[in-house]
Amino acid sequence: MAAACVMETAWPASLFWGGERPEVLVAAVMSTAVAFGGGLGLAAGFFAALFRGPMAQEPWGGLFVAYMLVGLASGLVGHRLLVRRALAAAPGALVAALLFRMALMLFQPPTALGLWLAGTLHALLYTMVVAVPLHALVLGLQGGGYQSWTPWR
Amino acid sequence: MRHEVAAPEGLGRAAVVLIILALLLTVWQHIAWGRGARAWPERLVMRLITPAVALASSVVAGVHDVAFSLAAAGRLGRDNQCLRDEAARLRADNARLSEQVAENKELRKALNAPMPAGLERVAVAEVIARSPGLIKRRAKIRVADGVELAKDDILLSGGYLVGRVLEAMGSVGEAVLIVDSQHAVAALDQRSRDEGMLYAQPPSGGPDLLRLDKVVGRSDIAVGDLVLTSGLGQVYPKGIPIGRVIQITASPASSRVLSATVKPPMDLQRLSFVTVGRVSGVR
Repeated sequence: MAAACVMETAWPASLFWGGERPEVLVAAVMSTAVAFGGGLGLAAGFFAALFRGPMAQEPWGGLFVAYMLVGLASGLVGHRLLVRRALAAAPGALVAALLFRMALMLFQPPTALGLWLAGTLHALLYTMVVAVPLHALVLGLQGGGYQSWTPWR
Repeated sequence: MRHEVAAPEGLGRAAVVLIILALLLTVWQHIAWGRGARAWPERLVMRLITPAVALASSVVAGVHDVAFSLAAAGRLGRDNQCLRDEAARLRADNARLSEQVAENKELRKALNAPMPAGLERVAVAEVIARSPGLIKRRAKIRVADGVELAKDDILLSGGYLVGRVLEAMGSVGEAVLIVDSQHAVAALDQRSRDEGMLYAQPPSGGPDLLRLDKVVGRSDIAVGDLVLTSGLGQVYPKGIPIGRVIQITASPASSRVLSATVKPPMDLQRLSFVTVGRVSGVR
């Protein structure tokens, strides 16, 4: 999570897409949760919020709820459906990032909904792209290799 | 193979612990922010993460720069060539403009020079040809279309005498310069009123000089005196400045007969423009 936080914070401005960077921490939490289950997913979400709060100077409350929700949901649902499939990270990240953004929106309401929607769309798609190699890396670190690149069985 | 690390009851306990921790941290942060400070855990996280972020940023920036340079190498090469061409064109433009500025300066000088009394300005003429030798010093001049040159029109530069038109063909004329070896001007020293004939000094490779010969009078001529046309012979009107005395030599025959070396203020070999003057009332 610390590495993902560093990656997200140091994301170069030239690689922003539509003014958005990918939700690397969300992808990392989702990937950890899918690979290891809900318990570690929840812990991953906790640490993701713990690291991001000070670095982004955002209040911890909303971040804890959003990240831990993503970790818990990904662990409970994704661990049964998507584990050991690298490409499964793409739709998983899409849902996780959407869940994260919507949860966070409750704590940090956007000033302009149109801009928020456009930004969220870019961030979701960007996170999907980043999540695939990240999930492959997590599965590789977990050992045993992954069964397929396809998200289906 | 699944790596379930927590049983459902374990998950519940972990979740409760994490939620309590999250709540405590949130409250801690809230209280710290209320005091305008940062919570201790925040400072710890920042101290741990910030160096790594700085390192990652510099690495990413370096990689990005290298990648960008490689990707843009071809385009940069083309841009560089375009800029070189542009610089060469601008240098040529600059040289042309500098030449125009110099020409403009000379024209202004010719136009703004005061006209000696009794002369009226006809036009400013461009020197379009010069005789090649150092003995016969002639120049071909041209004025703007519509202006007619006339024989015996007087040429000036900066208000000083340069020569006169020998032959006129419409707007083009051939002029003899005062440094021509066959040319002579009746001149006088403005201060002492000593008179004499002014000839071209034989060329020595240095600047064009004139010799005021056979100065007969009080012989009070001195270095620095201004020499003017005397009007004798009626070739040139009286009172046109020619140059200043730079040297005086006594004649071997009589110490009362002196020769003075006179230097015109302009470089007659490099004249580009001259003012054409005409005796007032003469067409």
